[in-house]
Amino acid sequence: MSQYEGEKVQNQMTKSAGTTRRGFLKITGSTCALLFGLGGMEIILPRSPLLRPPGGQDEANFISRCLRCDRCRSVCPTHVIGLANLSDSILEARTPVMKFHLGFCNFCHQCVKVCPTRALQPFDIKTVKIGVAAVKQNICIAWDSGGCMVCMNACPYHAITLDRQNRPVVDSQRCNGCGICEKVCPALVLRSYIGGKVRGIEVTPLAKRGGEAHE
Amino acid sequence: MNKNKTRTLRMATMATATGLVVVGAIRNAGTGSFSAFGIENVAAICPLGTLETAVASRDIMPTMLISFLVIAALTALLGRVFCGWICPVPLVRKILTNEIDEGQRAVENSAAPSAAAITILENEEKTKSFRAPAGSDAARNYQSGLVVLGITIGSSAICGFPVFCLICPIGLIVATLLALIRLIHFNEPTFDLVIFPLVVVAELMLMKKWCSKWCPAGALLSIFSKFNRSLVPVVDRSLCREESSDIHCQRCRSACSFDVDIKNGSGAGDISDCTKCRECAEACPAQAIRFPWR
Repeated sequence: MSQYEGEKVQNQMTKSAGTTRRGFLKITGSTCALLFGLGGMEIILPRSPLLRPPGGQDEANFISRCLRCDRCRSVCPTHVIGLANLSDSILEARTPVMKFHLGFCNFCHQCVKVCPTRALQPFDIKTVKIGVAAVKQNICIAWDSGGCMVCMNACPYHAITLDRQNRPVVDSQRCNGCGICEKVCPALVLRSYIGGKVRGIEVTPLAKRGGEAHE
Repeated sequence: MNKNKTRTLRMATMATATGLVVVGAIRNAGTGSFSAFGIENVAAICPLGTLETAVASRDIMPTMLISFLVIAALTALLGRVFCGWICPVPLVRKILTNEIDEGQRAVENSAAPSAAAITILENEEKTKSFRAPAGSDAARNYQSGLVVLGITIGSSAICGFPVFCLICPIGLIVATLLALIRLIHFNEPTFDLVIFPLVVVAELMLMKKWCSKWCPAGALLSIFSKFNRSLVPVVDRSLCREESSDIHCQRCRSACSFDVDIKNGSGAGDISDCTKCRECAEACPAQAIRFPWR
């Protein structure tokens, strides 16, 4: 081994450094440009808040830790965790987001348990808030023609009540964004919208106020 | 035609590793990808990702530290086996370009040490003389890899998130497969399915020596493998053509992805860069290179 090293040092000393230095600078420069460019772009570009799995509501903490390893998405028993993609933002592509048209959150902690970097942090089931459900009045069947109470009956937290005209209203204090209302909403099926994601009630991310989940 | 059994075996182990990730993703087993692969709360976490998230969040979890140290110890013990046998990048490169790793020149190996081989060697001598100066950038692999590693960690610390993960070819190869699964399973067509593979292709085609000169994960592993003393190829100098007859062969060096000159140590790669791929042993016309196994 020492023989190799000795010869290598000799070789290094005798060679002309011109071409190698250029190659070296090329690698350094392009890596710097690429990584700091990508990193800087993400800080400058506006980002709309996304619905993270429970425990990932502190967005700054989440994004600094998420390795995009796919474990939380994979382990989720209700398949509500999906992947963000490039159209959400370059930074967020491949990170986990809640897709409530596919499932709902039962706060089982599985995703937090498998998260290797604590991007998803242990949460208190009583205070955690993924988002808040909001009725989309132009799509909701009850708001249009009345009679539908599917979301109210499904809500395990009694966060949906009916107003005088029997239209659903969300109590934002009680709602923790579990998304079961969005999952069961029959507006798409009954009203023949195009695209599988249209619902009369949707969980919306809490406004960009980091750490809201701990309130 | 392709008699290189080790290469076939390596491609098979890489495909198996990627296959495990894909099966885990389809079965929703929670096993994860190369970024973190494991069961329950025990996982092998990408050591580069560990460093990136540690500097980005200014915090390190005990589980991450343990995984990091275990990977460091395994790499010190076995060398950069991950690069040669598990990482999907060489497999994808083989599929894309049909080139074997990053050999300095794709020397088609007919490993027959016969009279025919010697005529090949003589031709070799002429072609080699062209590229002798290019190969003289000794010890540069290690340095450029370390620079990329430094910038990777620096950018994470400054920007506050693991920036390199966005373009990591290992991550994007898995991401492409995941996007495909999402498309089939949930009918989610996305641009990711086009753009991720394009980034991987760009990285592997434009940065031809990705594994040896660019990859920061490989550079990190090469720091650990500095302590590696096992599974090292040994040249039997009594069999080597260069020693016995006056031929400038260097086939072992040109077959090596990392330009390791195991005979004279004058290549750009250090012996600790060896990924145990056995390409040198397969390329040697005199079968003078031995690995501790087989």
